[in-house]
Amino acid sequence: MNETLASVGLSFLQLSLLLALAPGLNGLIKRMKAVLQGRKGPPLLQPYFDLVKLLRKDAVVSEHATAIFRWAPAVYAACFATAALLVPVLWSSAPLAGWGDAIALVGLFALARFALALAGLDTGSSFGGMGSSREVAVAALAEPALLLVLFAVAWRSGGTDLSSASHYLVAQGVAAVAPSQLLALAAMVVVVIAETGRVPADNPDTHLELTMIHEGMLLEYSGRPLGLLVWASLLKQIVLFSLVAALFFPFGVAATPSEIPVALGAFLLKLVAFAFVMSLVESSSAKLRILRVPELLGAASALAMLALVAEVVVG
Amino acid sequence: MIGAAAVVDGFAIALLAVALFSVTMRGLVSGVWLLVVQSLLLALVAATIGVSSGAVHMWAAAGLTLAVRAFAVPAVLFRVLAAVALKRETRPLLSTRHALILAVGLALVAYLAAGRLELIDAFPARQALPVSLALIFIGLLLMATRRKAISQLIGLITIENGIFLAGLIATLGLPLFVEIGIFFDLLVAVGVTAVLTRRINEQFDTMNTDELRRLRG
Amino acid sequence: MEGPLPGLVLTWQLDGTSLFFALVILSISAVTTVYAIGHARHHHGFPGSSLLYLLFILAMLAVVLAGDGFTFLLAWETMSLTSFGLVLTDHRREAVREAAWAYLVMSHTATAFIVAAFLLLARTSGSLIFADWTGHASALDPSVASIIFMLGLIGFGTKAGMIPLHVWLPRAHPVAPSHVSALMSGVMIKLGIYGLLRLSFDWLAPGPAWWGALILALGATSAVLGVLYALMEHDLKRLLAYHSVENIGIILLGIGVALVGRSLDLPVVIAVGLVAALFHVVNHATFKALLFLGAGAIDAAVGTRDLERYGGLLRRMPITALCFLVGSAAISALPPLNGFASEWLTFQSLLALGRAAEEPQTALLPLLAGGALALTGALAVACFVKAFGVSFLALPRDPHAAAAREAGPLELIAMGALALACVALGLGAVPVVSFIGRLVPSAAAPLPGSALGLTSLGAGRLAVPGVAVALVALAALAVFLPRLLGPVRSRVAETWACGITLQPIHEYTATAFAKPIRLMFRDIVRPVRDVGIVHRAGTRFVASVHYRSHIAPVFERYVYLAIKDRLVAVAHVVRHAQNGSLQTYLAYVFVAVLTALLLAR
Repeated sequence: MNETLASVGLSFLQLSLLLALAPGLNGLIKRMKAVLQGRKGPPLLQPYFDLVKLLRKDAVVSEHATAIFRWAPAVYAACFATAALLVPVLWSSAPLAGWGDAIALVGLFALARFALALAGLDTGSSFGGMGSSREVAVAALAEPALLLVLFAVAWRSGGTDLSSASHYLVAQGVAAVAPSQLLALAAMVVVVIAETGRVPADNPDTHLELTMIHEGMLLEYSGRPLGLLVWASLLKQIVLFSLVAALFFPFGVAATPSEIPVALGAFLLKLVAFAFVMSLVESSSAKLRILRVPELLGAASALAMLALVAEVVVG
Repeated sequence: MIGAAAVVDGFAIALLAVALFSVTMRGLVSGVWLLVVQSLLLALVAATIGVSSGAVHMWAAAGLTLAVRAFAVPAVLFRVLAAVALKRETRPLLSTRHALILAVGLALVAYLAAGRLELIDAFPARQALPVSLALIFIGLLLMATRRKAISQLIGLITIENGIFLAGLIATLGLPLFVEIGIFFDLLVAVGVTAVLTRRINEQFDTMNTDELRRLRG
Repeated sequence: MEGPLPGLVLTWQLDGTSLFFALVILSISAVTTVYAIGHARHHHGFPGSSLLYLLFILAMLAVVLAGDGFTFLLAWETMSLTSFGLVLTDHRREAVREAAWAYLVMSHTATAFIVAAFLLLARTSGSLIFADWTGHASALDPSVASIIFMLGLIGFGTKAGMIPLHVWLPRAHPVAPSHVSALMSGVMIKLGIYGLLRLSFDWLAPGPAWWGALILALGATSAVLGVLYALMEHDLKRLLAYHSVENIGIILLGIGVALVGRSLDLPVVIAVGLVAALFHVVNHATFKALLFLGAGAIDAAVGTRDLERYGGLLRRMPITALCFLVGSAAISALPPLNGFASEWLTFQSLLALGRAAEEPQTALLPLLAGGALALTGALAVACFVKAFGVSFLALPRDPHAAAAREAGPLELIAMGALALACVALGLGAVPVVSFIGRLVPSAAAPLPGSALGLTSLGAGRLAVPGVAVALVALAALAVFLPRLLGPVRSRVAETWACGITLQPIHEYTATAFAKPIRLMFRDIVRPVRDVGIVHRAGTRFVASVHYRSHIAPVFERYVYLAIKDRLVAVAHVVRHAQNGSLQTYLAYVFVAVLTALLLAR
């Protein structure tokens, strides 16, 4: 019973932390991007203002929308909130360690996509259909790549459990650094770019029908449901970043409660570093043609497969 | 402390990634830049082995790699590219997608063939041998599927790099004498191709080696 | 052979494996029967079709309970013929007759291979009794055993719908009445799996590792190609039929893992692989039956199987929609439903084999198969977003769809029961898996008890109920927490369509939805597109545009037609021998007798 209470408590803390940081992270990326491109950029806290505003606004719902459209935001948010509890962030084990592993994480991502893609189709708008169609096509290659990366990294810890993997990496220290992880990291970066809807796979700042994927599905949403979806997408982004931090840069993770401030500092530092990498990628590359995106993701899947093979065969 | 073997493994994997990347690149200039990266990685491998084993000729190998592979050869290639009009590999025999799939398949084969091979007296970097085999395969693939002379040269140098990597690992480096021979070979090959490319380009306004067939008597 | 005319006495056996499959057959057919009774007002079968239906179920039961080769074949043929009859229900349509013929031909070719395998088995053991085959398994010459394995693989693989022997399945399943399709796709093709299990785990001794490797490769191919072809379909029932090919592939992955494990003598790998495969057998039976029953309800309500003419059915058939949604999520392997649980186990079995394998070759294959399985899962999500979204959401694209009515109570009860089963099998994955492990001890080999629990398999852990609780709790939070910011209203308005009124023609169609994937995998599915523009006479104004898009039938064209052409060519040669002259025939008889005498010397 105490154990359950403890994991509920830890879950609450971790979820609050990630939810609080998620909009700020996006603000940071936008700001860095602007500076790199010689613009001034929006204030760092702008995403928070946007979220609060959206969450307080009335919604306009299409006359054709069904229960799917109404429930999709809650399902979408719940998926990433659950996923956020399966990833180790400040400690080497996740709050819900043992409830789900890497496969469950990818399954939750798939469930979220299923819900949102159906919602995109629900209103009958061509834009929604376009977004849904592209989203599932891009994910068809991004999801296997993500799963293979997770397999490759978790292989040495003996299974598919993310907390065990993180535990193993922390315990081994520098000795855990394996060359095959280079390939895995390269693949992971591509997956993160695609899953967070960033250039060159998608463009997070536009609603132009030629380019949009993720935004297309959100087009009919407004007000509070839109706020929920936006926040959940931001949560997805920070969950993916935490995953990269936990599996590829596991330094500074707390082992005892007294180390938590250090761990928090290290986590924030890693987030800033990732934000910088993302803004660099977004500033230095152009959006790919939609049909070229699969090639990028196919290359990522191939790299991930090679990483797994290098890990397993040579070990 | 990370062992020297793990560092060499890391560079080897990076080499593989760069070679795979060059399969996806059609631009000739970026292809040569990727060769520079490959050469730098090779020099780093040699230097690492030199540090860990204390073998002086490894340092010589690293220096030669830097001088010839990372500077001289690319410099010649860039000059040729500046002289000819074409900047991209047009109409390769395989589309990028197919070439990449094939290259990854070849890398898998390399891992199958050399993955658990134990070389006696070799440097204990276990990724290096499969990677060197993969580099040879990928270089062959590049040579077989591309039409431009420069691209084919890029493939040839990739093969060379694979052999060189295997040489560095096996028996802790080839004798210096053999290494110098290889470098000389490489320079001659690059020189000849460079001259040929410019001549073909002047004569036929193209770099396609296919056109050489017209030279038959 | 010994004994008084073996085969004239029917023998039966009931062990764990038989019981497992019998339970699947009985539970699914109970549900489809309830549905069939309710559905009778739509579908008037021919006289005696109910009898044929019952006979079909009994024949399937007899297959898994048969204790000797003769009984098995008798039951097997009864099953094939009764299902052939049921496929022909709508026999007035040309397409239906064609599909039924394809099914009959493929079924009988398959049976011929099974008979050959059985004869070889019987020759060695001198008996037709299955128990004797098991007893004599190790006495079998290894090369003969490999021949028997290949014969059985072709025979049973055809029934299972394994690629490249799958071509009958997407033809025959859609044209049968839906409760029959549900039984055929959900249950009957699993009997091919049953035969394969018996053959490779009971009747044959552990064989070379390439047996399992071959099944792994075939499983991975079936899974990926099955779901890709499903994505290209816009006939709802054909789409579901292709998904059966995909799921058979996933089941074969588990079996392949177990078989490689048997060759390499790795008991834990055998256990995990088999349990994964059998769990997926149950799960696929549940959700595929559910989806076929749902498709039947839609077909009856709209009068077509064409996805492009559905739309907006959720408002008109809400309960069917809910059940179909559960089935779609389950088959897409989404947590916390049953499809996810068994795919999770299949992943674990592949990784377990990769980990246990000594040789790099044996490690590589399961990993590649794992990559294929991941791709399959992602494509399945895409396919069911398409299937559910295009049929149930947005505006009706056809007046019949607009006038659709909800299915009757018995149909809804049947579908609801299956939907509940999907949820229950997902939440109760751990007890179900340990039940399967206890039930099939003969196949699953002695295994450490802990290896079976989903929660303690290696270092991968999964608690489906935990994930479900977290999902529900957090979804509730996501709904209620924003309310603390104060009440908001929602206003109903038109969908934004760039300023014009939204028409059904603006909606994404099923074909359009799958287009990015069609282009991504164009090397495999080989799409063909014809666009024709008709101008108004004497002007350059466009009167109409025709757009047709389809995919090339690769297997039919390059495998089956090639074989058919060879056969016809051979037949042309042989025809010269059939010249109709009595003297020639007498000469044949004479030569035959002489040869027989010489050989029997």
